[in-house]
Amino acid sequence: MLATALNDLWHGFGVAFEPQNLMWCFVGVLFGNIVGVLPGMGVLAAISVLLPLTFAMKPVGAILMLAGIYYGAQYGGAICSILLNLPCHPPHAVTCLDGYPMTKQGKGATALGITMLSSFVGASFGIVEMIFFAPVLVGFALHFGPEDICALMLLGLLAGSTLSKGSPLKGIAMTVLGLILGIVGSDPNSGEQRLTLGIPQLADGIEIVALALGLFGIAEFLKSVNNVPTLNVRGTQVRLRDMRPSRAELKRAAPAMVRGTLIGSLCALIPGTGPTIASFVAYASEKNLSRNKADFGRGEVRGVAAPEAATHASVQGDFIPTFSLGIPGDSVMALLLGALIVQGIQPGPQLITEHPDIFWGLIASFWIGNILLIVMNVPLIGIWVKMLAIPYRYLYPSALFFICMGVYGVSNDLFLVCETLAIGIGGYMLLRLGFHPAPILLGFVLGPRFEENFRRAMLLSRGDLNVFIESPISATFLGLAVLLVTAQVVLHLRRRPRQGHAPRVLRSPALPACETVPPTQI
Amino acid sequence: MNGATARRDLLAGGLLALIGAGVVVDARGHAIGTLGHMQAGYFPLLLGILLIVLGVLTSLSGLIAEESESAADHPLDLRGCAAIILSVVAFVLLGEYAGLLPATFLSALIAAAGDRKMSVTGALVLAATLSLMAALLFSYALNMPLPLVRL
Repeated sequence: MLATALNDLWHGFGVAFEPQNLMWCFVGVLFGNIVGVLPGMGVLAAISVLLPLTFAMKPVGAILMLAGIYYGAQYGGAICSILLNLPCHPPHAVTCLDGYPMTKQGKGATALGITMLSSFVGASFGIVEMIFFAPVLVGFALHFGPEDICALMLLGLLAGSTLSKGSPLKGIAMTVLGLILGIVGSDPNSGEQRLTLGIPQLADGIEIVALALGLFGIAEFLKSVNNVPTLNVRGTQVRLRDMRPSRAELKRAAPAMVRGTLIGSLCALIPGTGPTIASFVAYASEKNLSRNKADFGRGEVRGVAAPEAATHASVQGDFIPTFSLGIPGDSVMALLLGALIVQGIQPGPQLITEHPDIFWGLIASFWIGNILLIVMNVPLIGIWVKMLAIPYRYLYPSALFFICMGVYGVSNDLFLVCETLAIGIGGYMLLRLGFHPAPILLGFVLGPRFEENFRRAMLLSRGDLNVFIESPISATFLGLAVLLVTAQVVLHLRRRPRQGHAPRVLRSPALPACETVPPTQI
Repeated sequence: MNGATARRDLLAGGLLALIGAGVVVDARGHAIGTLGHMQAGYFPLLLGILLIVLGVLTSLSGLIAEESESAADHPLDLRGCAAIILSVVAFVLLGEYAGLLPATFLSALIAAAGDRKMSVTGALVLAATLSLMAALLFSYALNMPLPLVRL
């Protein structure tokens, strides 16, 4: 099996090194890196803006580029945290705790160097994990019946909605709303128009680009306008030769990197626990393991290395359930799956065998992309620092323009721009009411497939719901789902008096509140 | 108990229930079928009812929750929001009746007017840059069928 995997990987490198694919991979990581640096810009918005462009591309190039944006942005996100103490991108929020003190001690460049090294180690391990785990999962998933797929989707949806930010109840509500939005349009069996409000353009369903750009573009701008501080980067200088960590620092950081990587790759396997949770867990365990806990928060190298390695391992690992089972772990993955579906490719366990070019080409491109990122970030770090200072007042009108053009370009129809605006206003209302709209996308992408499999399962069992418990696979997934919800409820009830929610560390006085900068919500 | 949070969650739950009710009404316009043989209305009906239940639970949860979630902590910025919404509306209307260039230029100006720190020069430069980009990148290079100027 190892031999076939290596053989397939070799084939993947062949695909990824095709000049066109190489170019798209580069465009993706570059764009992602820039977006990661820019304050107030989210990964989801970035992917959605480029999504219409991919409709005209070949599937392999499209996926390589969109994936590149995602992991490229992770490299950029850390810069803001370390140099300016602003947790603009949630997975890197915890990096502030020790990254910024290092900057104050004049070792900001070293912190960035360590970050890049940790990122590369974490990402590499995540890729290896994907190479070996994805085919195993696929072999397992090929035996799934419709009831098993349903149960798995249910588990994925519950995990994605309850483990993300905010109250689990509201997360589930958003997922259900997403499922509802997903079935707008013609019923696949009878062709009846459902929930279209009589608007003919909605007969084909809600356009995923409109939904994503409405929720993560327009709604975020409505929230952030006049609320994003312009950053002062004067006096922040990063010199290239300072980035190389000393041997002593490397020796301290290396074990932390390995531990962070392991935590990140474990988190990747649990659906719904994305990079943000991984980085927090990695930091907390690193601190607990340390003999001198007091060093943490004062510029401890390990406090930078562990969470960054965990983030990147988890980011790469996130692709495993998405591409082997067709179940996205979070909204970024949901968007990637949406892009695949637009290309006419059905996600699911058959993807790897039917489209080996996409799967293995993607894996190979991860490595190429990560190396490109390292090579690119070292000389360009000075430019990134300058870009941090671009005021939001120039960013959002430009982004708004690209959103309008991108959405219009999907079908050359201005109606779609109106649809995006309406979704954006709705999304902002939800934000104000204390919802986090990210799970909507998860439900939206899975909605039609969930209904299809549910209907098929019930048809086959003649309406007997017991089939979900009688199938051992489905029963396992449902058991896990129940366990997950119970754990959430218990934690929620126990947490309330103390407010000890992990990501809320961010709002401790040690860090300036960055709630005004729109979080990426991954 | 926090009055503001309770009020907000009451509203949030009410909105969910309202959407759910709408979905139920729409679903009842289609054949429902049975669990063993679902028709077009069955799944939406299920989701609509589920959303109503979640809405009620959300309303109730506001009564016992003490902490306030982060999302609504930011102040509502009327000027900024109005500018962004109007900017998109202007883009659609001008794109339909006047062409890509006026649509880009004016919608960028309107959006820029939403930021309190924006200078007139800055807004003009931004709008001009974006218009240039619209002409070169989208119209010329990507061949978008929206005419530059509609006469």
